[in-house]
Amino acid sequence: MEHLIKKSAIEKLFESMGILRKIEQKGAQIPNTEFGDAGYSKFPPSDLWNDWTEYDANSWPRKVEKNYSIIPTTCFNCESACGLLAYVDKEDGSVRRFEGNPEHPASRGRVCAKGPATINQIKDSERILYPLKRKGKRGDGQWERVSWEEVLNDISGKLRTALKAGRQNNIAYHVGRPGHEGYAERVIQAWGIDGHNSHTNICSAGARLGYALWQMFDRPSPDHANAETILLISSHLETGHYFNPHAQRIIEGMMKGANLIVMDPRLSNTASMADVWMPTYPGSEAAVLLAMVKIILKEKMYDRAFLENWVNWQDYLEQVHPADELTFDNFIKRLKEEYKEFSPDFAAKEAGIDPDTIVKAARMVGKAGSRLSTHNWRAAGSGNLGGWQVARCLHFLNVLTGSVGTVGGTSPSGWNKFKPSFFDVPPGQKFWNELHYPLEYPLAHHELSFLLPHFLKDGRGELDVYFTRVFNPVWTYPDGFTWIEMLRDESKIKCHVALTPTWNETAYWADYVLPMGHASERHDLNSYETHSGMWIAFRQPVLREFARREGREVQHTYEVNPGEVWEEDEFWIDLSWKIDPDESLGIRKHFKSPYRDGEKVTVDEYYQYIFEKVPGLKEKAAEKNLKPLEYMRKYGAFEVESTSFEKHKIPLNDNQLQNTEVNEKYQIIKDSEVIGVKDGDDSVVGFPTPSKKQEFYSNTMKEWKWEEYAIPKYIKSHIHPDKLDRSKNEYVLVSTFRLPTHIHSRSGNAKWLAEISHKNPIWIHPKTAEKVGLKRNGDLLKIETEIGYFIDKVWITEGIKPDVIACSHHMGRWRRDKDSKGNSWMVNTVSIKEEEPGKWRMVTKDSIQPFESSDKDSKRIWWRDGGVHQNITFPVHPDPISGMHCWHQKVSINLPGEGENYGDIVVDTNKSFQVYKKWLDMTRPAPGPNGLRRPLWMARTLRPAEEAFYIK
Amino acid sequence: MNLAFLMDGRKCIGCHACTVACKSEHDIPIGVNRTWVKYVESGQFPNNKRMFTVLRCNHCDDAPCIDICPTNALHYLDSGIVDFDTDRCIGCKSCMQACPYDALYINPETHVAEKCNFCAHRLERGLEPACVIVCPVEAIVFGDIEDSGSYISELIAKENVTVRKPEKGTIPKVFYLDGDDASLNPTETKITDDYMSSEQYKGVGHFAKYAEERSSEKDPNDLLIQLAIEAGAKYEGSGNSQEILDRLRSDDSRTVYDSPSKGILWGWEVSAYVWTKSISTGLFFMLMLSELFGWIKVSDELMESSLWTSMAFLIITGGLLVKDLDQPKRFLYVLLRPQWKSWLVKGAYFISIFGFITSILLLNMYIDLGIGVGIFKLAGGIFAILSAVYTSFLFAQAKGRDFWQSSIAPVQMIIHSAIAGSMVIGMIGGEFTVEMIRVVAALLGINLVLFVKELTGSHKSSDTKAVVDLITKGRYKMQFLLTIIIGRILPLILLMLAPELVPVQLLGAVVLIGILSSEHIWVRAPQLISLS
Repeated sequence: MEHLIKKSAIEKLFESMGILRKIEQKGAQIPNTEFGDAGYSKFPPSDLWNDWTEYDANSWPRKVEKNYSIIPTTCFNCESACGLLAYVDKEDGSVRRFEGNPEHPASRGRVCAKGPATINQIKDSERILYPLKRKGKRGDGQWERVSWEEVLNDISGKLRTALKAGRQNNIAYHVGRPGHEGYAERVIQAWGIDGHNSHTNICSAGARLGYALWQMFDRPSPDHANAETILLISSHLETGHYFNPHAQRIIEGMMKGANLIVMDPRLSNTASMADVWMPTYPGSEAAVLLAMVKIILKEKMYDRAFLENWVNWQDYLEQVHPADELTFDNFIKRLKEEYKEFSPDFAAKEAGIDPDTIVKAARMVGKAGSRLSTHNWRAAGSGNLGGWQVARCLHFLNVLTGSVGTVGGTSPSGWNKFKPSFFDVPPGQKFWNELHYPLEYPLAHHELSFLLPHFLKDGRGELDVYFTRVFNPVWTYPDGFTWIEMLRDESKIKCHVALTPTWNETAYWADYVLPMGHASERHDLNSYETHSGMWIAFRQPVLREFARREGREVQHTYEVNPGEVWEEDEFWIDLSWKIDPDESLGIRKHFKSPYRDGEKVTVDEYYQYIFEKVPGLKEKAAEKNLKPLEYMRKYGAFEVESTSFEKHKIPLNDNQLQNTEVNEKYQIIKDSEVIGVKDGDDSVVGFPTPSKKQEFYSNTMKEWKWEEYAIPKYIKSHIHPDKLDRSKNEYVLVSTFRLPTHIHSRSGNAKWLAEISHKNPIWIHPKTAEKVGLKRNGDLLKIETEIGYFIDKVWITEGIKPDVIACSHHMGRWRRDKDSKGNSWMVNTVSIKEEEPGKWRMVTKDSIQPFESSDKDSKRIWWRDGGVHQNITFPVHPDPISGMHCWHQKVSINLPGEGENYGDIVVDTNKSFQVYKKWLDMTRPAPGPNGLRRPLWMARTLRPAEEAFYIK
Repeated sequence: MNLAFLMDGRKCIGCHACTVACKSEHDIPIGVNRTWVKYVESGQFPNNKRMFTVLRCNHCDDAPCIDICPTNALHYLDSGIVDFDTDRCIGCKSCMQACPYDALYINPETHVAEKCNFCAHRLERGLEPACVIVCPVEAIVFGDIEDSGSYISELIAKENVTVRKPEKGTIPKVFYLDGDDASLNPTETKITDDYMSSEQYKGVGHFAKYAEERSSEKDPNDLLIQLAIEAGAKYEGSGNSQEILDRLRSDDSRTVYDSPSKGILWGWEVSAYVWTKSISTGLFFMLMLSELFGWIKVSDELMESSLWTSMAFLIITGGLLVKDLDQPKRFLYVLLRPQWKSWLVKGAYFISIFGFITSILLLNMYIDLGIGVGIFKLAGGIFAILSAVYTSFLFAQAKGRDFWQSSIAPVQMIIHSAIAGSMVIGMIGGEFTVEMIRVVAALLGINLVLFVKELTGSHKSSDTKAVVDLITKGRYKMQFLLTIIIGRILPLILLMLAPELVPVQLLGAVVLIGILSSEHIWVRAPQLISLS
């Protein structure tokens, strides 16, 4: 391109005289031969990724060449694992920037704001670079740098002692963002313990149970791109599993003419894009969905063939209406009776919306037929007592319309998610750890992770070694002060090891803080059900691959990472190796190379083995003269299947069909077990439920003492309007909404994200604001929960339902003066006092301040408000069936009194313990049939040996 | 080839990926943006919406930033892109006044103006812009609008497409498919006092350096950094809760997210320079006119002290101009790398020539240079008037500011110079004759009439209307009223009725302060109007 500058005669004269420096827009032209006549390309061609030259952006308009090695990896911010390309500057070997990876089948080269912000995270001037060991008392904020050798020796010794003493249940690994496929689970099973804990029950347990009851798989996988109607009880155009891949496909579907229906009491960005926004009162969603069911039944918009073949309606009639003849028409008749009360008017009243909207939405759903894609993950499913029924009622619409597993429909997650084959599979553990899977919650999906501190407080156990990994319960979880009380108690938790790339509120109370790599500094395998299809992606330490390309063989990732930052994969291998030096514990054998006899496995070998077993990858790699591992290093992702529909119709093979018979429900029976279903003349596998069909009627629910919920029902939430007293200014607080620019408490180190969003005022409708006496944005409001209160500013907006208030997640991060500095773009300085046992007070001493660092931007911080930490004022609300923490809070809202300030937080953990007890009392504990702790057919993380399922 | 962007409003989900990808590509400091996503809400629950609009440089076919740029730092590429060369930029910020789209900023690290340059370095390499490739929903389209077969041309031909502020005549080339009027036109939304998940507490861009210097202080007002809180300017009202709630509840749109305000970029240095320049130039040409018409007896002493005074104020004027630059060391570029269309360049030459002539005349008073003094006085007078008036044309070249697009402004600027110059002549010893008193009174009279005309005429644009409201009803009401009464009307009455009553030093001081005050309002108020 030519620069159209007319230099004046004066300038030319002075430049020629040498008085003025000559300014020219020039430089060597790189011939753009790679793209032919095609015009512009989004990415450099993958063949040139090893050696790519382009112009330096900041030298422009002078053409200064920059030479890059382009290396794929995957993002490690949200769970989606979108593909990234790291541009490694060949001159100094540093990562210059991240773009999307066009080879990645889910993200297709495009990423959200958090993708390119990864560069902020790896260049974070405050990141932890060395292993730290606490000095003084736990939580005192004093640390000393130690060697990794010392770390491994000490921790492996503690583990070995516990294992040898039979305290298997005293070891736990608690993960926030896993970001891998089975790696840690394999390690834990190799140790022979039932020690896995996750974040699932503060996240998605509600929706998981709802889906699992229908089809065992506990997640939906919608084919939004081909849908005619998209129904979301979520905000997938801005957040969530799997924001970017889903948003791409939702918009793709909409551009092809699909209607978007969104249920959300808040005008989310997603709701704003909807054709039909249903601002349903929180917890009323199931009622609205059942009203839609009723309309679809009444207007005969259901898919009779699918229902008749693929739903266990016979079980329903047998169990509930034994006198009825087993005919489908009888089923429809009974179905109409079951849901007769769910008129649009009834649902509209529950939801506080217009009944016509429900009718309109129902017809859109009915009309879509097999092209109805739906999703509920958190939102209503995780906000309400009985929230699991929301996902169940939502999926009911897919079942009714025959849109399960179809093009444009919604598939079970497992059909689109790849399961790796490991070089070594340890046997299922023989232990059942009731700290994670307590008897009270036999149907929970999954670990009751947020009750862990209460269980410890309750005397149900103690922990010798507690690993927290990319996990920040003190901040993210409800009732953070109870977490602090347990974490600081060295008799309850004897050793707390925090594996984290950055400081967080939980790591303040660790014994060891072990720095782990960010997205481009670690290995992981990823596969998620982002769309119809199946893919794997390879997160790799890009500087390790860069070293390899430059001819330097690197043995360990920490050799190329900043400081002494490790990656978990290598940590677990080395730690496991050390636990069992003499092989007496039977652990070491699970960490021996499949390729070199008796040697310790390397991380390269681990992935080499997996990739060699991925169907089709060997062949695809061979086309490029590569081995599977080399292919993944080069391209970062591989598409295992391009589409995956109707997998319930996979035929049973002849071997499976030997000695089988077919019953009157068209089920194929072998050894008195259902192994498949007759689909016309075909014998097929069906769904992995006991009936091998979609289970409208759950016999499991009946067997496990919840017969009243054997079918999809509407459960009135704990924040149902009946339970609120408006005269006391009681409202429901929706505390879970997220912003497109952040990810929980892990993006405080990304300055470009922090500057876009850094505060979390209470969204409140003008009418409500007026009632409470609020005058303008920024006025303070005191929000009282069952266990305390917090004081926040308000954001008066039409974008929220008048009887609901809402507060976004991510903000209100804190450190005490004595804690190490980290994430200072978003962290307030607070003082915390325990005024009397269990009575805690947190006060914001200092908001966000500019600071000196190697990053010049840090002294230019132009915002000050860092928001307020709301979750710490919430008690635990475990749903008695799904085990989900029911996030929505009944709160009373008032203007603060004299001396009460922005950011004040007060909590009484004695009260929170009582709330825990109250909710625990709502459960119906195991045993179930045959002394079982959990139905055998249901999924369970870290599945133990079958014998462990039975209460001895 | 003529490259353009198109923002597909059917697809944009407001995720800010483009903002961050752009920051990453160009390593842009916090606080400033080459592209950003504005959020605007409108309607009442539940019939309300939030709209997302990607804003950035419009790569205008008739780019006002290029016209006003004194050094060719901003220029076209032959592909229709508006590019910039940071090596040429002197940091005068006139481009930021000229751009109606708020597209430029001062990089706090390099102290030069920057903006979206269409990722010219990527295009040159055959790669699409960083914002285009990152967009999850492919809402950012770019292409050649001269090629009727291109996708962008197809969309422009078939779909509902708008541009921002077409009335500015800039021929912008960022097209908005299903664009939202309230988001595209800043005067259509209410400015609220903060945003949904962000707040601004300190200055950015040009003002970041002041913020940095005070990083340890906790001054909640931070007035010193001249942070323009447009909200404060526009958000007038009684504070009555019902009124505020009514306003929030109204159907009007309101901006709920925007990039941080860059503040009032032409601050006191610019107001002060207009003022010192008016004294310097007015003194000169009023002295020459007085001599010519005999309004004042011009003795050699008066001539000498006047020329020295004019020179002194001219030097201060130059000093202020240099001080206002973010790249003061490059101040000579204005003269040595001139872009002749820029009034900044023309003005610099006028001032230089005027200064040169004044110097010669001064020198001639001590060493006989043997020159024709009359010719020099005439030429000096002409260049004094040109120097006095050119700033109004520079302001008019700042197309972003509607209020400055005024045909009255040049006249007012000369009148201000004439009044200021006259007063200073009086203050340094020139004795006013009756004629001179009449001349000054007449000037004050015309000045007042023109103020009335400027503030009451029919205002074509809503921006102008907003500025007039700020002056007559809003933030500057009191200051303006006092300026007019004490700085204009009172002196006028005194001159007409009792010129002997008040010493000329006092009268002159009052009038000069009045002129400084009104110039200050005129420079500042229009900059309070949000452009994004």
